[in-house]
Parts: sequence; structure tokens; C-alpha cells
Amino acid sequence: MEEIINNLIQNFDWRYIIMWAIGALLIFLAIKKDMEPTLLLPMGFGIILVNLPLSGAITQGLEEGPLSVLYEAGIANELFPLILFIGIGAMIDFGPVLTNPKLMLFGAAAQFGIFFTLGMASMFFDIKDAASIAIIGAADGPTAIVVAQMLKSNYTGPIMVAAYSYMALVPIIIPPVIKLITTKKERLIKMEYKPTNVSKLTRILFPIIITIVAGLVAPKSVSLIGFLMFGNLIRECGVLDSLSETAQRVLANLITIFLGITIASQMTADKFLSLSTLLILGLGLVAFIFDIIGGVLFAKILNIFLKKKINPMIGAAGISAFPMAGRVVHKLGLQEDSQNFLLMHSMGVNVSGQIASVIAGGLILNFFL
Amino acid sequence: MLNILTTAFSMIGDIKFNPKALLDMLPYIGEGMLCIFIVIGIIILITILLNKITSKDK
Repeated sequence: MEEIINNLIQNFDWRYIIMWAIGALLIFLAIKKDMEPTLLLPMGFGIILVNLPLSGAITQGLEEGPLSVLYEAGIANELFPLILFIGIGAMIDFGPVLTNPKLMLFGAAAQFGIFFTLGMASMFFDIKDAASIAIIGAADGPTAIVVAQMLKSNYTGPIMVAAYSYMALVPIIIPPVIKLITTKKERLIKMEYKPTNVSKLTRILFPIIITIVAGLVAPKSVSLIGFLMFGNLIRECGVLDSLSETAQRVLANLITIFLGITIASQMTADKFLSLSTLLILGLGLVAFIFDIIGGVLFAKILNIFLKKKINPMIGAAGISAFPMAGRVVHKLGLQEDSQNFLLMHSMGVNVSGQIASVIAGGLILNFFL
Repeated sequence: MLNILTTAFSMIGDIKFNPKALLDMLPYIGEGMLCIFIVIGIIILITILLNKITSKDK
């Protein structure tokens, strides 16, 4: 008994208490505030699990811990996030963007935050870490994990936390930024929606063609975009309904459980509690804010030349964070005018943001890998 | 001012402050945004084309 107490005292670190508080906060946000519970809850519990003195959940000396083994098996080689992309691809309906392909331009504009943050982060971190931090602006967890891992960033843990936390905070981040840079008159702009049928052939060819185009331009992104589009092809082909359903539910859920708790294995007190973590969290917020600004300002610039004006709020949905960003913009439109239905436009921009963010990740890899 | 900031940041743990790095990044920022718009532009054109070609199959 005395030996156990001595061991505990010898190996206890006051920073564990801070990490427990961070873990508890994530669990609280997941359960009480319903913020990305599928990820924040496993992550929160995992943080507590790995921040116990001599925790057997992670490798200690020669003794291998299960979370470290899972990390090597699924995160270090980018396997988990890529498999998750199959599920995400199966969930996405590209219908709105196929009906109005021009909406994709907003998805491109809303990647501005990534490149703006790249510049900001490069002043504080070396180039590969700066690029990994910038990709928080992709507002897409799997892309952030893959890029950070491929660039061998030293800050994978904080980058994951920032990416997923800000994705969960999209409903809180988007409205004030939009209100700051748009006028009431702009927010009241109504956009006509003409529903048109998209042929099944187009829906099937779209994921294949996107994979080829993105793969040719940014070969390093081909696994990212390829897995996403493979999931979508399963959904749209019409002969693999059971696989599509499994990818959307069982596969995505299974990977998500392991993803959250495995990422936590990188969040030990000695790695996580540093000023660089705070700086990364700050830069992540900058990336999100400038994504929104990029999308909204692009719409405002287009409005100078267009006869039929665009509601600039839809530009904010290009931040990715599918499908939350699209829904938030739609709700904001309804708040301004209960008859202003922006859903189809904002969802179109939102799925384009998903494609553009993956391409941005590929470009970052092409530049710096 | 920049010198003061550089010194201040270099004193805080592993963080360094190198404002010149921002200038080195400007070409990547421009090239990155341009590339995204080009790729998305190509995808838009292909999608429009696809819609036209396959419109008979609706």
C-alpha cells in the first residue's frame, strides 16, 4: 500500500489536474451543449485516460499501451481519417451543387482563411507546422489529420482539438462575423431557386471526374478526395444501397469512436500544456474567421457586377463544416426575413466547401511535402 | 517594434517570432488561392458540360 502511494506521489504531475479539467470540459460540451458529441466525448474521456500517472493506456517505456498502438495503426498512417471520408462521402448529396455549379466558386473563396493563416502561422512556427496549423481552416477534421500527419507536424494533438472544437462552434462563430461585414439590406436579399432534376448519370460521373481532376492537379490529395468520392459513388450508383447505408452509419460511427479516443493519446500534459497550444487555438480561430470573410466578400464583389444579386451570407457556408455551416446560414436568412429560404443555395455552397477544402489540403501537401 | 516582439516571443518557450517568414509565404498564398479557383473552375465547366450531355437521360 505504502509503495502504491509512494509511486503515485513520485509520478504525479500537477498538470494532470488541468488536463482532467480540459477532458471534463469536452465531455460537458458534448453532453450538455450537444457540440460534436461523437468526437468531443471520446476525446474528453481519452484525455483523462492518458493523463493518469503511468497510464497503461499509452506506451510507457517498453510496455505498449492500446491507445498508442491504435494511434500507430490508424492515425500515424492516416488510415482512420481516410476511411471516415468514405462515410462522409456517402452522406453528401451533391444535388444542390450539380443543379447550380457556379455555387462552387464560393467554396473556393472560403478557403482564404487557410492561406491567410499559413502566412500568420509561418511567423511563429516552422513551415511544415505552419502549413498543418493553417489547414485547421479546412473546417474538416479528417483533412486536418491527414495533412498534419503527412507533414509530420509536432502539434497534431492541438491541431485536432482546434479543428473539431471550432467545427462544433460554427453556429457561434459564423453569425457575428457575417453581421460585422454585411449590411441589413444585403442580408435581406432573396435568391430564386429553380429546382432542376440532375440525371443519374451525372451523379455517377461527378465523383469519378472530380477524383481525376483533383488527382491530376494535386496528386498528393488523391487519397483524400478519392476516398470522399468513393463514398459518394457508393451512394449514387444505386446498386450498393446496403453498403452506402453501412458507410454512412456503422463505418462512420465505428471509426469516429476510435478516432476521438486515439487522438487523445497525443494530448498528454507534457505535450499539450504549452503556449504553442494556445497560439494554435488562436490561429485556428483566425483561419475560421477569414474563411467566412473570404466567402462573404467574394459574394459582395460578385454583386458589383451581377444584375440578380446574391445574398452574401451564403458565401460563409463555403467554410465546409458540412452540414452545419449551410444550416446556420439558412437560419440566419430566416432570422432576417421569415420568407427568405436560402437552404438550397447555402447547402450547395457548403458541399462545394467540402470539395474545395480537400483540394486546398492537397495543394498544401503539394507545396510543402 | 519588430525587434522587441521578436525578442519577447523568443523568450516564451518554443515559440519564435519571425515576421520575414510572412513575406516568404506570400507567393504560396497567391498561388494557393489561384490554384483552387482554377481547379474549381475546371470542375464547374465539366459539371455544366455533364449536365448538358446527360440531360436527355433525365
